[in-house]
Amino acid sequence: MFSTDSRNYQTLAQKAIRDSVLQDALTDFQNLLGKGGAKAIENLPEGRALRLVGRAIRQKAIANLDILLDTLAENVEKNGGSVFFAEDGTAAVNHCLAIAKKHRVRLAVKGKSMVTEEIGLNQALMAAGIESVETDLGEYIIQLAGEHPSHIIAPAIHKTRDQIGALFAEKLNIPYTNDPSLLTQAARKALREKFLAADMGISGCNLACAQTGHITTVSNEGNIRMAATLPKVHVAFMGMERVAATLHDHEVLIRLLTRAAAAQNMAGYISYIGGPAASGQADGPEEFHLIIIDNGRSRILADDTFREILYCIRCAACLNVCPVYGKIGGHSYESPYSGPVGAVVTPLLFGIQRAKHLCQGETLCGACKEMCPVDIDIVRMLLALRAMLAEGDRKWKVVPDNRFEKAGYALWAWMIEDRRLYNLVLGAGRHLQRFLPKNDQMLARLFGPLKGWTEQKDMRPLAKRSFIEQVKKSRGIK
Amino acid sequence: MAICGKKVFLARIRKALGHPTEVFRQDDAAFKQTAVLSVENGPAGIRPPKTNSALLETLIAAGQRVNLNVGVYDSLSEIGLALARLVQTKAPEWGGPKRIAAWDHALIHALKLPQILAPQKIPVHFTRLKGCVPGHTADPIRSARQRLRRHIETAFIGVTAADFCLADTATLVMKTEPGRARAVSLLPSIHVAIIEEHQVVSDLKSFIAQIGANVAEMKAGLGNCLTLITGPSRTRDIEGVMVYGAHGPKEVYLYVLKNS
Repeated sequence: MFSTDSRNYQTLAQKAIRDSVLQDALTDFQNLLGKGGAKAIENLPEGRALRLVGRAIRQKAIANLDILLDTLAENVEKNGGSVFFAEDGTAAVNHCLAIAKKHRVRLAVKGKSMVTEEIGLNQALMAAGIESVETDLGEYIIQLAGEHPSHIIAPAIHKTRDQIGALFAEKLNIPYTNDPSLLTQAARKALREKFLAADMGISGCNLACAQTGHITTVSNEGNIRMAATLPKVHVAFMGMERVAATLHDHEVLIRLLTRAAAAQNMAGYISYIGGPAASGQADGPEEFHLIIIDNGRSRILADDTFREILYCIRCAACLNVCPVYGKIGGHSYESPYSGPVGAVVTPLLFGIQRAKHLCQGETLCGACKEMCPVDIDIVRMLLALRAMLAEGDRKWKVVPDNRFEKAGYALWAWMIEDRRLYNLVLGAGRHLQRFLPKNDQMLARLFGPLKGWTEQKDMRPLAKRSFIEQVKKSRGIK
Repeated sequence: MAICGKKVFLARIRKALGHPTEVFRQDDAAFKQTAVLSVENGPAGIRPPKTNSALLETLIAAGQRVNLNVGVYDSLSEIGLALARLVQTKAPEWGGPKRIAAWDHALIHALKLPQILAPQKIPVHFTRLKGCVPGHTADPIRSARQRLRRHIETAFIGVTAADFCLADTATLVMKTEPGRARAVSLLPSIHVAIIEEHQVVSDLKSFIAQIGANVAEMKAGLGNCLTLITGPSRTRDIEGVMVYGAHGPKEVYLYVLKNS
């Protein structure tokens, strides 16, 4: 679940940067999926222009979200499914626990779902004495290791085959191997037993279609199909923004999603699920429950500045091209939502002040927007969050983050408007810098609020003459 | 409580969007229809249809990219022979005797699998929901499903048909219907799908365009569960190395029956 803390951020980021295994993994991963994903989108019949169509579809869907969710719920119910609207994580978790209790569920199999990470579903199920097994291979690995996902679609990229080999030898009682195919086979065998014995299947929802009343689940492994087919109850969790109006809209978004997320023209398995098994059908769940979650999203919806982040379809493409994510990895964010999208979503969902370091840690290079399959302007929102932290905001309950810094800039703004005053300060600076420690003519250390500037590098001292003074001198102007 | 929860939930969204709270009511279907349709990005444009042979070539090439084995045959008997050879050469992943599970579907019945596999003494179980005799057990449908499930669990090869096949991505489109158990393409280690050439369409867009011109047709076209399957189950979760057979089938074979 969410635990992000600005005090940990730098420590975790530094640890990640020193971890050479992680650095290699992140580089390989970004090379594979970042470049591959960009190419897959370029190779669409419509080319990169389809991103703008995708954006328009998302924009209109979010602008009509009330109607779409009502239509979706009505259609799912007509097909014999149940829909529950959960204001927050607790309501969603409690509803799932009530369903589990009614069916005396002892074992639940889960497909990968970031929204269930957001609301802490696994912890709640376990506290209620229900075994909840993550079945996506990456999620299974990190569940066995007692860790958290470090990427939205590739949760275990931070682990090496050797580490996974040792983990499986210990937890699954198999002889040690570091062969990915043997390790996958061991997980396949262990998880097949869970799938066949489970009483409840839990999944997320990649994208629902309001018009027809379906949710869609996307995977390559087939674990979500297992979880949605074999147990007698299927419970799907959905962040309220994940809905498309029509099947045509949905089709465009699915094509963008599979390319951006995994550089694939089509995922291994996509299921359109509209309800429980109908009578006469040979299999499928007896009950289908859809839990639609707000948990802070309506607050984002109400703010024009940040509404755009709700267009996100959680493909994680921005993670795959982000230079910051590529160095510090997912765990530094301490949130189920990492990378550029996480740097916007996490503060908005869990508290801007509390997660301020995330929006301050990104570089604003804009690679995320270039890559985003629905063209979300993440940089604009990062800047808006930073402005809010500087100025404070009553609606979001943000107090100015650093009054000293704000006062410093106010002073600076006042000073540079007066040339004589500026020259005076400049002169004083030139005089005072003589007393600072030097390293090969460069300033090696600054003090007080300026000390951060020399933590990683030396600073060039103030020039003996300013540019204007040099020009004046060369042209003989007094 | 659920109804009340929904009202409050949607009211909060309407407020956030600045929509008037009384713009639409539960029964105002006409309004909803226009509002929903107004966000449509136009009807799906179907690209110029490819010729049959071009579609098949596309399908075969796309199949290679996702490790799907595509074979094109002139007659059902050839497909039967190919399947019999496959059954003979492959071993059950989880041990035990060789068993086959197959859809209760006209095209599959036309293969005459029980006769073809009789020399190898391999039983074929068709996934028809049988034994729903009222009064037979406390819950006849549930127990019939359980029996069926055990047959599918113990099968090492599952044989299905498909509704469509998308050539561009080598994707099988399978709608859930009685007699067509979903688990047949999921639990056995090997999945064999048999389609006729005319079922091959170019891509997802043309499939969506084909299933219906209006909402009612589209809803019916998707049913309560429609699955797109592209190649065998796969994962890249360990150091980015591609491994086939994560949870679902390790191998998928697609046999296409040519138009006569």
